[in-house]
Amino acid sequence: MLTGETKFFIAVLFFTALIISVAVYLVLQPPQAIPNLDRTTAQRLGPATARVTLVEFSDYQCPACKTVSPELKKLLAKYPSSLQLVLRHYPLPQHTLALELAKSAEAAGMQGKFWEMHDLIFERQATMSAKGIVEMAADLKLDLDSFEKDRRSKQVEEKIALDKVDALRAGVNSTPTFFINGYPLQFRSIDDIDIAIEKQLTK
Amino acid sequence: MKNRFVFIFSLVGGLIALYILNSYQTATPLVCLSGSGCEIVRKSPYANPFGIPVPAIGVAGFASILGVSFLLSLKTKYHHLLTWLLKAITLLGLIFVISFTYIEIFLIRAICSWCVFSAAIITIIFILAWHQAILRKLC
Repeated sequence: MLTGETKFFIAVLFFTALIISVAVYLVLQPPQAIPNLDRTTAQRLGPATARVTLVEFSDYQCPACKTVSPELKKLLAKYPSSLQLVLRHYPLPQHTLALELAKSAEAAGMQGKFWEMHDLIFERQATMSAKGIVEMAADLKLDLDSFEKDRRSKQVEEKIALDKVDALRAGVNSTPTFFINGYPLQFRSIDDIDIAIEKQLTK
Repeated sequence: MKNRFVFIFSLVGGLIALYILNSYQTATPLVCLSGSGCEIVRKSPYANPFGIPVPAIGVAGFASILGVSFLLSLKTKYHHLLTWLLKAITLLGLIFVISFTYIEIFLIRAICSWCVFSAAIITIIFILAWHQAILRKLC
């Protein structure tokens, strides 16, 4: 016959096993894809039919974003039919010009030159100033009146505000932050992205 | 009654050791109350004596205490022998945690909160196991 103490021990073991099983089950649940990472209005490169969508939250005064930019272009060239890059803005508050630069890129986008402006901003990142924004617009031969009007427009402001809301909901707190097909991507070097793309393509 | 405490404490200790062992094996970050202490201790050469990860020693130690405690509850004819076995294991455990705490403080120079927690648990179990014996001697 079992003693009272033995029965107590068996009960304790049973409940411990039960709690651990529930915890392990919950931990092993596959994570849900994060919603609203991609918006139809977001700037993008690569075919819409691509199997892999890479979303980047970027800041124009972040050195790492600058470094990664040409590397992303190389990846787009490596996977011409299967990779789409979606660029969303996450101007960090400590970067005083970042928000203005994001607005300028969007304003250039309204004249069909988003990516030209994007590349030019990174090219001149080290020496960027408020005056430099207008110079870039002039160098890209943009209609300066429209550019000035657009970058101060409500439409552009709301677009970037929406990017920030979506970023915060997705848990973004630094730049660049990447999401691949709706899931967060651990980014230490460009190879991490390449490996993640390969993984998605072999799924 | 004391055996119930031995059982519960060894279960808690064993679960902690299992959690840490799992993070050793999968190289996932540890939740740590002493800042970066746990990571420093984990990455130190003392974390794997003779190739055995310290938490594995913890799992084995706590599991054996748990097993002996369970057998004690059955009140078999080996009760006396099991009491001494429990005392022997807890003594070894105590020696081990004292040495490891010494290594942490003086050689690694970092404190891992989980190790401190485990050391406290093994000390309590040691007192419970030996206290019973001392009481019996006195009565």
